Amino acid sequence: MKQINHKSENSFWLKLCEKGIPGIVMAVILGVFIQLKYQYHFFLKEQISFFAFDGQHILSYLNKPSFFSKLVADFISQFFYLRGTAAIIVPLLFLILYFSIKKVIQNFSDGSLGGFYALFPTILIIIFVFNVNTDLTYFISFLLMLLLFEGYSLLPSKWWRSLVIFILIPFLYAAIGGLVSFLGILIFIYEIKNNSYFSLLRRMLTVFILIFSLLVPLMFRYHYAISLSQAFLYPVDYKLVSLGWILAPLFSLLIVILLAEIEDQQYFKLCLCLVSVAFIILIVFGCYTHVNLNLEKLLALDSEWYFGNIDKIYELENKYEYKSSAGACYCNLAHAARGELADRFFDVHQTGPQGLVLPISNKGSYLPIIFANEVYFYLGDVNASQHLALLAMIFSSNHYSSRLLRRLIQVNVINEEYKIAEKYLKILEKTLFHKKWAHNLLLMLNDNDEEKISYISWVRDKRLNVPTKEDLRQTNDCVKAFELLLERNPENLDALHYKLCYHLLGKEVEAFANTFFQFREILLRVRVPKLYQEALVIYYINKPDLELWSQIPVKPAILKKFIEYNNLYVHYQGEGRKLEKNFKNTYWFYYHYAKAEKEE
Amino acid sequence: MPVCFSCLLLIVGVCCSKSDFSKAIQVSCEPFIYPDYTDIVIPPNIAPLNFMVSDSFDRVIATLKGTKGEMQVKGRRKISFKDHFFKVFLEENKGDTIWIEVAARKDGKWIKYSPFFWFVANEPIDPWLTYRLIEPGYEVWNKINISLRNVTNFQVKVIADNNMADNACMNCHTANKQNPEMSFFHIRHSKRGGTIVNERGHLRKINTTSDKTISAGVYGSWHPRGRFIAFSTNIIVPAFYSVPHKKMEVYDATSDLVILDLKRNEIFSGEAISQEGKFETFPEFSADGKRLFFCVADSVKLPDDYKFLKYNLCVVDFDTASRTFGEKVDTIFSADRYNKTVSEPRVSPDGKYILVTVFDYGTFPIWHSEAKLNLIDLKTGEINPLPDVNNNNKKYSNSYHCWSSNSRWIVFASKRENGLYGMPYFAYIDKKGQGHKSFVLPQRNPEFYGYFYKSFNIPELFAVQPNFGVADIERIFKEPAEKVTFIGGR
Repeated sequence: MKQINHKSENSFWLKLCEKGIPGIVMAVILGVFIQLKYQYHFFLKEQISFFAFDGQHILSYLNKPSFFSKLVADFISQFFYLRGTAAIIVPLLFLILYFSIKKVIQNFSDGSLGGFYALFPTILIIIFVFNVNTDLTYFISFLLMLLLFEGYSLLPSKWWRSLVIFILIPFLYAAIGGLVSFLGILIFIYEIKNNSYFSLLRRMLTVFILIFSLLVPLMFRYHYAISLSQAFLYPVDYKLVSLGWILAPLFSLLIVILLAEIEDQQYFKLCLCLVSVAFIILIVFGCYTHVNLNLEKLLALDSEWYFGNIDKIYELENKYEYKSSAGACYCNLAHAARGELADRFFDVHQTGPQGLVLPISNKGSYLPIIFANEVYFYLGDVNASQHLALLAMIFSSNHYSSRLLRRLIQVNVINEEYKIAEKYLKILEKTLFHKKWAHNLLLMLNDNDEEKISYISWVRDKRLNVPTKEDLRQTNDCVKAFELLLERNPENLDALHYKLCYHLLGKEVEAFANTFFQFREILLRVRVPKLYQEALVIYYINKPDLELWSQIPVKPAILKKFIEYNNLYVHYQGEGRKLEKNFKNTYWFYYHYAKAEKEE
Repeated sequence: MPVCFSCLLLIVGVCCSKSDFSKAIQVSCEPFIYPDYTDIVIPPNIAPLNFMVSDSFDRVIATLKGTKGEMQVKGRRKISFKDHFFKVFLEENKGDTIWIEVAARKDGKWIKYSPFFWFVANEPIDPWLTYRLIEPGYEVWNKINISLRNVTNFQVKVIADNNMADNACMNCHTANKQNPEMSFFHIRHSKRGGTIVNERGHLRKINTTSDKTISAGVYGSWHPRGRFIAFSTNIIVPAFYSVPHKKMEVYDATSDLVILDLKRNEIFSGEAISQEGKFETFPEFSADGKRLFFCVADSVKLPDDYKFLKYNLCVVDFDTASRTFGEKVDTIFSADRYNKTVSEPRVSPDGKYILVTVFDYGTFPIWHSEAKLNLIDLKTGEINPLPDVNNNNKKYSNSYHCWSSNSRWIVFASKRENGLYGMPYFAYIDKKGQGHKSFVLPQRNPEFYGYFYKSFNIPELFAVQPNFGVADIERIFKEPAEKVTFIGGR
């Protein structure tokens, strides 16, 4: 009786595998995960990729191998612009890949657990898509490679089948990139496995296919001007993703094919257990490596800022604890947009001046450059914003970006550089989701309707602030940028508060006080934020004789609290932890104890 | 035979029959075509000058009328000539004028424009053009390549790509006009960089740094005999403008000149070209190799006084045998006199002229919208502001110019199209030293530049094809660089 139950359980499991239920369940889990936990990564993928329905743009894909995979990947990625689509598209792609792998496994053997084995390579490659430095191209290449193999296996088993694929190999390299070598390996294994009725010609052709598929990347690498490793790995950039992860799906496919082959063997169950455990460990490690949930939280801030949802940023800020400079940067930006930069200073985990404007370097990710570009644009330093938008585009993995193109257009319209704006608009007009925005703007530019252009909110607002005094500055010289902005428009309160807070975060109290005094007329029109009052008190004890103090309102309560702080500071001999409870949200505490944190 | 061929053009050319424009509306202006190829002097060996009319037209016909034959081409919006027919047509009409009549259809009605002309010069342009393709991203790069274009057709190939050289910067591919099989360019890389010298296909990598010079060689010029290359050594500082209409200023914190002796792997300098308190840069040997032109400015406090940094064009004698410089430095272009600065001097291969970029201040004209090419007659000292070449002095920089080996053609990079993306322009300099209207490098698809997102940088003409490719550069990049010894000099 027990044996019957065991058998029926087994057959139930086999039926599930046969119907691909494990893959379907996994796809559903994937969709739910993306929708709830990972959608912003896919927004970013859309923002830093670009697809235009333009002949010349499409022809440009031919400049590197895997043009077709890249084309399809960019085409699909554009749909990530819409909320929720990633949670549909990615699981769908997962399912297509899953069933393709399942079919490939079945092509090699009649193993009954194909539906189970297929999960491993599929998960390994989908994890790859979750990496911030990759797009869908490798996924599509892998999928196309499997479909090509499927197509090959469906052709009549005649000698010309091998010849056709042999001739097509260079074209396939152009279309799917380095995975053509793996296709050659698969075909070789497939043909060897079925070689009982082979003619000598077939055998030779099979060997030639293998050799040619391995040689083609070498033969064409100078044509494409790519390095040896790139020739085999294209479309993946091995500098951004480690080689192990690029090869893992390929090896896993070979392993599961082998596993399906030995199902009848006595030691199969042991092998299955070992391989399953190994895969599970690999998948867990892969998730740890590629699925960056901390970055997702950061990208949430970034995307919501891009979409203009300040409320959502406030919500995210309350929901998560952002401890990085990039997180601080967006939280501060959102507060500034609500006029609460100083008031909500301690609601943010401040990491120093870089938490206001991220410093730019030519090392590391392009993301901080995009983030810093948003700050400069918001403040009105459109030149700096343009500089950073171009830099970010250069350093992003695709070198094209719909989001950064939009920014460049905005900057050039504000600067009345309409020719260059038109150049960008014309290409953006050929996209699916930015078309309308670009078309409307292009109409205005074509009509030369300056009045209409100047009524566009972002044009009107920014033009008021764009510096007019000619000067030179270095990229990371934020203070000079703030000064130039204030020189142009002293009423640019955002720039003013940014400058004040920048000094405070850098613990430059004197520079802060000087700025405060210089712009006191503007600042004293409204209530002076508690933060500023606390900082002024520090300056006051150093320079009590200034006549200006009579004009600066510092609440007696703050003075009283400062005296209390000072007494306790002396009493506890500067032990910060004992002061934290009552003074954590004071500038004095920040001044004494805050340290600029290392970047993530 | 030529007449027969012209007839053939008529019959089988690009279209089969001539259209009847008897009902067409004649307008008295030239058509607005893109790129602007109206009323220009063209080389007899140039690639087809394909062009297009504006979006509002749905059909266009161009009729080319020369003394020897006629050709008609039709298109929807674009006029695309067949390569061979175009080549033959120009050859037939060499030294003569071709009139181009354009008729375009809008809302079912044909409009016939006043014809414009192409004067086909007798002198061909050097067929090979190299340029660097780079994103217009200020001081940084990611993907750079040096491409080689055959200007007599549309063939392009990449001859050096930083993708195969650890993403290093590559710049300043410079030909030896008297020895066209020689060229050099730099690969900037902390470990494997150097100056790549191409001597008739044999590549050398030379590390031009020494502890007695400011930097490795930067801007360079070949000595006509190919033994020496003059280099500037500079500390280059990029800074950004605060105002919208200016983007970037690149200035030298300090600079000097040195000469690289390729035979002995030595570098030397001289008092005249590395004076205390002076910034010397942009060296250029005269056509006979007996003099060295260079730009020089008095040092100023930088960046504060960047607007007072103005360079003169000077010249000093150079003796190849003793490897020494003369004591007397003559000024060819005085910054004080014109209240301008000068850079990038390039001597015409016939030795008659020197072509320079003149702008308001500084040393780096690429981001100066007011930068213009000026032609200086080396015999009379007369300065020709080349208004037609400079697009009638409309704004946007014209810089990085270069001569064709016959001294009749120049190529230069101009941002005139949109202020950001550099494009290569050609212009004819006639025997009297007059410049003619410049035109952009033709492309198969006339829309090309509209959808191209890289700047054409440092265009350089070659009479013979540079015979190296990406594989050679990849190989030489991996090899150790030859070292040089600094031997001082006077």
